[in-house]
Amino acid sequence: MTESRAFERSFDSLAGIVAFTAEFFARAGIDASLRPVVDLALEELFTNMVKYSRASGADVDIALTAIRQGVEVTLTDHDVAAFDVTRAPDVDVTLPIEQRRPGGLGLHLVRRMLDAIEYDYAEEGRRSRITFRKTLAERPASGATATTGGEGAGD
Amino acid sequence: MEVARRRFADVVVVAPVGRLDHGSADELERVLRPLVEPSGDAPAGLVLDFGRVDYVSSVGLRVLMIAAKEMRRRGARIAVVGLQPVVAEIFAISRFHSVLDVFDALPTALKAISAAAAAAYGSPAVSTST
Repeated sequence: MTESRAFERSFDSLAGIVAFTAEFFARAGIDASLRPVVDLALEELFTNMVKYSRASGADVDIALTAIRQGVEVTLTDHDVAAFDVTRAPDVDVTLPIEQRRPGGLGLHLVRRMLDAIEYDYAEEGRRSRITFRKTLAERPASGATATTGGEGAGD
Repeated sequence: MEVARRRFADVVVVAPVGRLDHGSADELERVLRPLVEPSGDAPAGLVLDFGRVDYVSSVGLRVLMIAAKEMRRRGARIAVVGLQPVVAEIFAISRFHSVLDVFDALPTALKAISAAAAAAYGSPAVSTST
């Protein structure tokens, strides 16, 4: 079972994305305990797309697929530069508070709380695509895989 | 976002309800700002009661980090209590135990921060909500 929807590139879309996910979880019978992490990943990744690809006027496509014991989510962004979320520099959370800067924890959390996250970029259409999975199964130690990517900065 | 506020002697307890996300973080920041900035009646301690917060994203953590830095700058204490499991995991991954003190329950936090506040706990408190 897969459902997809296009969302305007705007922070105002976040409430609609949360509602879409909640409805899909209920329809597909996916364990509700997975929702906070899926919501978190969607909020962080979608927010990055809004913040760092303002030049694109295209909507962001979000597809949800029910998989064994969980869900697979794909965010597809069009007419944007490459930004590989699996390879973006990590923040150093071991620094003392005086040296830590507010912000920048989004990708740090996403990469550690999901089962897997993958990225690919197609020059044709300048299409950026992130796919992640969250299941009830134990997370693998690495938690992230990358297929291709570019440079950039994100939260 | 509903945010209740109570004061026990020199400690203020702030209790948000619901999701601390992109849509609500500004509101929490607006509530916390006058409490963390130096002023004549600024509290000696601030406790965030997260017992009814079921979701925190990075923008929420940013608000907490700013508040913690400001409290530390003026030599005041800041703590969080009642973390739900997913929020506790987010705190652990983000190493937020080194940003603010984490306690299981409000009485424990008050006792650690201020004897006056611990004594006042249980007496009728001044409550406000936004």
